[in-house]
Amino acid sequence: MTNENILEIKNISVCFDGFYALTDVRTNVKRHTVHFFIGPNGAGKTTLLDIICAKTKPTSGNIMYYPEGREGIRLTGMKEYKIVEEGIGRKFQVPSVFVNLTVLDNMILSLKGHKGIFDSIFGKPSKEDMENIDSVLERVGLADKKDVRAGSLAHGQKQWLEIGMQLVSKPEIIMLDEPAAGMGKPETFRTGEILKDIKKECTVIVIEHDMDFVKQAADIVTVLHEGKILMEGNISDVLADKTVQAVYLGRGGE
Amino acid sequence: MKDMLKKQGSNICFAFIVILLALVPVMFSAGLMNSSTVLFLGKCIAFAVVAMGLDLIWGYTGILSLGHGLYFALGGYAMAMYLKLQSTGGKITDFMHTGGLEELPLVWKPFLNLPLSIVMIILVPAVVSGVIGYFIFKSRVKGVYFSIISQALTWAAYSMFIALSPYTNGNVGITEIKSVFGSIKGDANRGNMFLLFYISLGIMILIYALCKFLVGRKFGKLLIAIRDGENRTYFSGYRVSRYKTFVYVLSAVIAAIAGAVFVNFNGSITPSQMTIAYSITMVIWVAIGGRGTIIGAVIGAFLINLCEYNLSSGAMVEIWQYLIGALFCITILFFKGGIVGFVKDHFPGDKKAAPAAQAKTEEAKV
Amino acid sequence: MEQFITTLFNGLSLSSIILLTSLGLAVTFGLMRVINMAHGEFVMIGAYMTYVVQQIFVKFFPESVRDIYYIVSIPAAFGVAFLFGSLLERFVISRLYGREIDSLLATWGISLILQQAARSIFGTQGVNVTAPSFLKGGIEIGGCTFSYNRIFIFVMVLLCLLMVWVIMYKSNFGKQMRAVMQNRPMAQCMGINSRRVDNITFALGSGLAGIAGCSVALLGSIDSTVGQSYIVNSFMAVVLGGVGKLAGTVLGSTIIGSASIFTENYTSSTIAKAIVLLIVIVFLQKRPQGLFVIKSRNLDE
Repeated sequence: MTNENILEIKNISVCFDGFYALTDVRTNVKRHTVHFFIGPNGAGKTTLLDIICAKTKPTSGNIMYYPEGREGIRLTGMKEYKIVEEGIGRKFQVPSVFVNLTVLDNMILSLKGHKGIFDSIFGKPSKEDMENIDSVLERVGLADKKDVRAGSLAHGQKQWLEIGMQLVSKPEIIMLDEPAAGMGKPETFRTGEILKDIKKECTVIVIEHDMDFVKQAADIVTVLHEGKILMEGNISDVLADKTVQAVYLGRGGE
Repeated sequence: MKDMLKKQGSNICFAFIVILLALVPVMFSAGLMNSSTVLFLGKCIAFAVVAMGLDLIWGYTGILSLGHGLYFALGGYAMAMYLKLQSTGGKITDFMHTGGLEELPLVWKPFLNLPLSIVMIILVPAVVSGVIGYFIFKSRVKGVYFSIISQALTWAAYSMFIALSPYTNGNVGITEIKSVFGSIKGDANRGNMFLLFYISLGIMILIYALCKFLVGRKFGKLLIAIRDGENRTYFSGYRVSRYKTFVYVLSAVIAAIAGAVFVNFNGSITPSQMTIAYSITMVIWVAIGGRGTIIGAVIGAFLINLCEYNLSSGAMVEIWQYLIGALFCITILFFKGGIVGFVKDHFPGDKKAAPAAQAKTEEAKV
Repeated sequence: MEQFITTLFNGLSLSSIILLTSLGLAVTFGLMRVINMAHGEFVMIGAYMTYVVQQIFVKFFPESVRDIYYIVSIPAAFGVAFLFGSLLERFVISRLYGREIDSLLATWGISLILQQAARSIFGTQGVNVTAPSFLKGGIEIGGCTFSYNRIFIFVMVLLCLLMVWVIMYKSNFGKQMRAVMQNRPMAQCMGINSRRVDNITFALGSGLAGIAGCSVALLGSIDSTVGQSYIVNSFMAVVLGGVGKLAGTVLGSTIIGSASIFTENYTSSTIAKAIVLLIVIVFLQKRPQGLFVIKSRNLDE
């Protein structure tokens, strides 16, 4: 019997020097959905992602992860590379690709498995892996940039590359922190379409400010405000909610 | 043809250096060169080897070790202990007598035979660097913190070596030793010297091939990835600390091999090879030659040492000190890629050869 | 007991010199993320300045006022080191912001040049200063001798510390300095001339090293490597104390200084230093950021 939740966030609180960035946050992420976290600046969205992928340690609470067909895993207290191995990938807010490597090398480093020293010296990516890379690059529109140094890509292209790097590692959960930042309307729309497409293969967690983008792609939206969950539901409910409008949309949010 | 030149530029350059070096004994036999120059070039081979190791860890992985002199000296001491025992016939040495020791101490025992000594040359630095690297990298000490700690460690080791003089002969070090192939001084032993020279050249070629192989694989790309974005590499699922420890140990072993080669040509080893200043001198070779390219390390080691050899005699000693200080400072400030980087920037052809300066501004933006 | 007090006194005296050299390092590293390998050479400059001032007094002044030379040499050493520091910041350091490791290497180049300059000017042989007569001898309390020059050094360090504290936490400039330290872009937006703040801060740190040079001159002979012998300890004190906090640096220096002296009682001094450094390194395993940490949410800190 598999759990319909892939991620259960249980009573998470984080305290930085007496300031509570998150207070008692509880929510579940369902399998094969696109789950958005929105909220004004300082609401704790990025901190929440940081906790899931072990960049930050929570002060209290824990996070359970239920991979497809496997036992549940407690993520809190695990090392970040372990969490990646278990199938949780993350794209950061500032695009962080390896600037001095080519697009292709960036993708090869992100392939699933083969992370050991021996493998990296003597192993070679298999034919399927290379085909996989090609198809992902096609999808994110970087197929003709294979041999370009990642550092010389435009900002939006770096975002695409980083999304591509997540896709190629075939995660069960893919977390995207503001994937549409620095992209124009058409590219943002395309990103949305890709998200809807990839939720068949994995679960997507997104932080985003762009409301059109949220409307386009979201299955579930969680609104965070000052470290607490304000409400959760589908996008039309959220938009209709008076408190949400007051704290977020009412202030002329994007 | 032009394409090949661009792609294989560094290998062609290396082949050129090797051919020149291979001709050295010939030139010596023809009377075009004196024996001290040959010995000096032999030492340069050792310097080039340690520079390649240092480049792997600093140029590629971005970890600045200010303590590679320690591993160079560990290799050197291991070799020297064997050679010393060869010349005393396995008996205890004078300085041990003076230090109050009655029989050969246990730490010297493995150096009675050659195979075991060679094992020790590799094993001792590997274990030392492995332990240090494991703990330091596991607790994610990085950047300048690592540099400062490596500096302090080297200094501590240096003090220890001087303090334990019954075992190490303190400040004086281990002197009056012959090479592995017997004496290399004088005309009668010319054959020994040539043998030693060519074996050393062979070692340099092997290390070059090893480094080239490693950086050409995914492993090499990963080192660059760690240098440019350590956190990102962790979040790509790599155990960065393991990789760092591995490279640290590898470069320490390479340094130790270089030290062992060095001792054969130098005829002695002293704790001054273990100092911070000496360790940074090695970094200077790599910086000026061009960090992040194996050939740069080789070029730097030969070039700087050749200049020093020719300039640092008599009145030029003072000027040389000013010159090397200024050159180093200017290289770091304005020519981050060193000589090789400069050549690549001004004669671009290979698109992958990214101008270092450009990469830097992009990192700053991120 | 007497031995314990003497050891404690010597430990504090060494700590105070380490503190003086670390203060400058800590401030520059905290503010600019620059590791100044030439910092030891500023100590050397201070020490040589003391020597130069003494030579001038011997040559031009009557015997009776000669002792004043030491009092004069302190501001002289501070001034010259301050000037050198300011120049170094202007022409080298300011080009290296954000390149921590490169700053370390470039300043090493500077350090080579300064050392050679000292050898060219003063020769390779060490020179000595004679301590002024009012610092000779010491007071004896219950069988322990407290030499005047060590007491003097101790007091001088306290005064410097007080001065730094006033500058950092009580003055307007200090406010600007801490603002730049905590958030450079924001401080610039508030109209703070961060270039000027950097320059003065760096020069102040160098000046403090110059004063440290004055006290070093009292304790032994001066040569071109005199700064190097203190610098490793100072670096470790900064790392141990945690970057950017005055209290951390004070504590770090005290620990390293006293620990070296105390272990020296049981083994030789070289081994003592080695042991202390190893202990610090082991400690840093537990707390890689040092004793005092400024928590930050920055990604790549």
